Amino acid sequence: MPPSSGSSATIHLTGWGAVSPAGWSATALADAVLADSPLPHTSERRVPEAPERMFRRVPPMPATPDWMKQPRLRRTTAAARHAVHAAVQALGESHLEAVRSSGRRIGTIFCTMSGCVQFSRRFYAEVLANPLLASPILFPETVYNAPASHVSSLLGSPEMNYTLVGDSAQFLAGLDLAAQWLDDGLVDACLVIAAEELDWISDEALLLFAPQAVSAEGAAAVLLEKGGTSPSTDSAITLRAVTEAFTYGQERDRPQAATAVRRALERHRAPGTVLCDGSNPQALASDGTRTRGDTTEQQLWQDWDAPSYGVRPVLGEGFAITSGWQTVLACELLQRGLASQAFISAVGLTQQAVGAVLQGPAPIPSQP
Amino acid sequence: MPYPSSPAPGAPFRVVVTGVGIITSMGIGWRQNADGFREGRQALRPITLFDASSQRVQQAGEVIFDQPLPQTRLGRRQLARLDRASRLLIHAGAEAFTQSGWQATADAGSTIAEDIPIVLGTSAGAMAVGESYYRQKVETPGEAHTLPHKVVLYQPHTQAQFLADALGVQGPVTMISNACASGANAIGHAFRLIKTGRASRAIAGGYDALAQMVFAGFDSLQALSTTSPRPFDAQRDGLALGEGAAVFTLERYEDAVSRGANILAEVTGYGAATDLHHLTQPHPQGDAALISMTRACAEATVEPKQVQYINSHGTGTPLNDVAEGMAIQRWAGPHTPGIMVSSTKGAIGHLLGGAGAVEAAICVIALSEGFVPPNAPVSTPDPVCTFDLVCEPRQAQLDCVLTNSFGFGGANATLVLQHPTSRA
Repeated sequence: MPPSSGSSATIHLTGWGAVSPAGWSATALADAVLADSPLPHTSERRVPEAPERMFRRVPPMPATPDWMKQPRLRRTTAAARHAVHAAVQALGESHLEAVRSSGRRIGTIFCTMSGCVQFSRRFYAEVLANPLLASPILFPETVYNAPASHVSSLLGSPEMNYTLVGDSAQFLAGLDLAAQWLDDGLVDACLVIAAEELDWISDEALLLFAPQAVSAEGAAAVLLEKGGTSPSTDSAITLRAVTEAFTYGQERDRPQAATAVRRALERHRAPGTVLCDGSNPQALASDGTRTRGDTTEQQLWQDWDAPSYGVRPVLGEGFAITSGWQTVLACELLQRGLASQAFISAVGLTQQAVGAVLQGPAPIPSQP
Repeated sequence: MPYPSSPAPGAPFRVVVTGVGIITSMGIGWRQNADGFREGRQALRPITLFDASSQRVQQAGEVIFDQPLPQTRLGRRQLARLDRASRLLIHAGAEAFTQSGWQATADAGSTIAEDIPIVLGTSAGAMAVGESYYRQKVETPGEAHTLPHKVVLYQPHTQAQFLADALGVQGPVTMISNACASGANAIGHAFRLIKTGRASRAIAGGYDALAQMVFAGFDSLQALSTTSPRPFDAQRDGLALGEGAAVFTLERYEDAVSRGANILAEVTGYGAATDLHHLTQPHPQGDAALISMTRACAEATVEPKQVQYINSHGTGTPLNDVAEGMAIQRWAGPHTPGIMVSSTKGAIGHLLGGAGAVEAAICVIALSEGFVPPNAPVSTPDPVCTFDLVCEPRQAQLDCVLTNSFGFGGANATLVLQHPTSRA
């Protein structure tokens, strides 16, 4: 269907899911963040000369669900498995068959920063050893959009499917794109997903910028629908706003971009608003100062006088999943009645700063 | 674009192309590429970028940088940091920007005041930089010298930031990585931003540079031609890889007219769909290709009988060409024999994330200069070729063309481009 001009009908987040070092659910993620204690991590050197990397793995899956047993998913990367699990949680596992047979047009927007690094690293090692023996099983799964493809396949959805490569703020820009697709009538519902997987190649890259940082893996997913299009939108969480993606460059530095985000978010300030930000006081650089991005975000919200919650100190550096986890956390806080509105602030590692505002099912109290 | 946005008065807007930049193994810039494609030259050559001697194939569409980078706003430090993919992108971006006339606006002040979205497609980004990072990490695990630079450069959005800085623009950057459909998706996405009034203009395109890992990957799949790539030949045996970039400046028709810009083409339709058949193999009947072509033409309000030429995805692999041919037959029905079709991948190779944008640029050149770029010569056309497979240079006054791009993961995209006078 050709797009119509943006009508900006109300858009709701009707489902969400997460895979993280806290476990295979959004509930586990929120419980861990609310406990406000960093999860245990592992330290390891791949060879004695290499830097010691610290990471938090996703715990083993309790049991393999039947829907994971289809042949397409047998040899997927960890990032793809994380992505499809978070997506199915967001849709509702019990609804999966109904989704597949409903004919609803479900779009997919997948966000990642590192992509499927495990297979990429393994495949390139094989190429260097002997290109004629490099495995054709590995190579197709190295492309950035492999996880997104598996999600569409699982849903049986031939609809729009984009993979967006970006930094830790990319998930919020993905929410904005989903809202565009819904506004324009291109899809009936849209999944926004982010996923990453651990590998020494990306973990050691992180240490170059933040020597005390702990890498993490997993996924986050939300399902967006227009108001009134399904029963689940009636008492759902509302996407009130996504700011512009303020890109860094010669014309705008990171602090300026961060300030622009805060200014845009503050227009929506109301009693009962909490902050889900991306700063990480524990990610200290080797000289004892905070890493560049964290300093910016820390300073941005230092005068915030309402409750705030951060996923990074508890879960670790999730790259493109980070703002996805923040979004899932905000959904959980709103659903549990711990807030009536949530600001999500994402001052990305290298590309952009973006913010979003989610509103809970309960009405926002009027300004005093 | 921030959400929610107010409905734009006057939307939907017509979207026109006022600048195109292109760099391929055929040459640097519009002129060299136009001449090469008009004559049906093949621009594949031995690979010099990495050692391919152990592979089954040693040739590709490698770009020869025989011209310096155009003058841009990049400083000396940034210029020294550019990787190969960024250089491809800046060559194309600077040409498009100059052609558009937006440059004059930029020269008047330190920057273009309005945020201009940049939407780019890539599949491998700066893969060669990632390869270098890996080798250094394995060979000298404790050595960190130059590694931070490589990590930043490896991120695809760094290349977009180079482009933004080179042109003196700022605006949201969207990097679409839908494998070999990425470039077409990027142009299609930018088209929609303008059409719906979310932006008044945009920079869009696609790029990819040759990289050893990707080359070995296609070889591992036995997708590379060990003879010569010849899409739609009954005896075809695979593709050649290539590299390059194309960048478009897109804006509202009314704005282009009011400032007296040279309108090169109009983007009138975009369709995208996902092939669920297999991660790397298309549905044998081309189901998703049919959807993307149908959607693009519905948006453009054109019927198959109005489409004169299709720049096909046409990789030259046994499975792709049959699936695409089936999709064209299903879509065009009785009009199939009258539609000219060719693949330009036999000439410059498959540019992966850059292919969709580069092939759209070739379409704009063909619309502007009145010719159909020929397919590589075929001995015996595949039986699926019930369309008019153009294998020799042909003059043609084109009004409406379509370009297909299909990728791993089932990413399918189609663009409809029309001559600026065809909808006046």
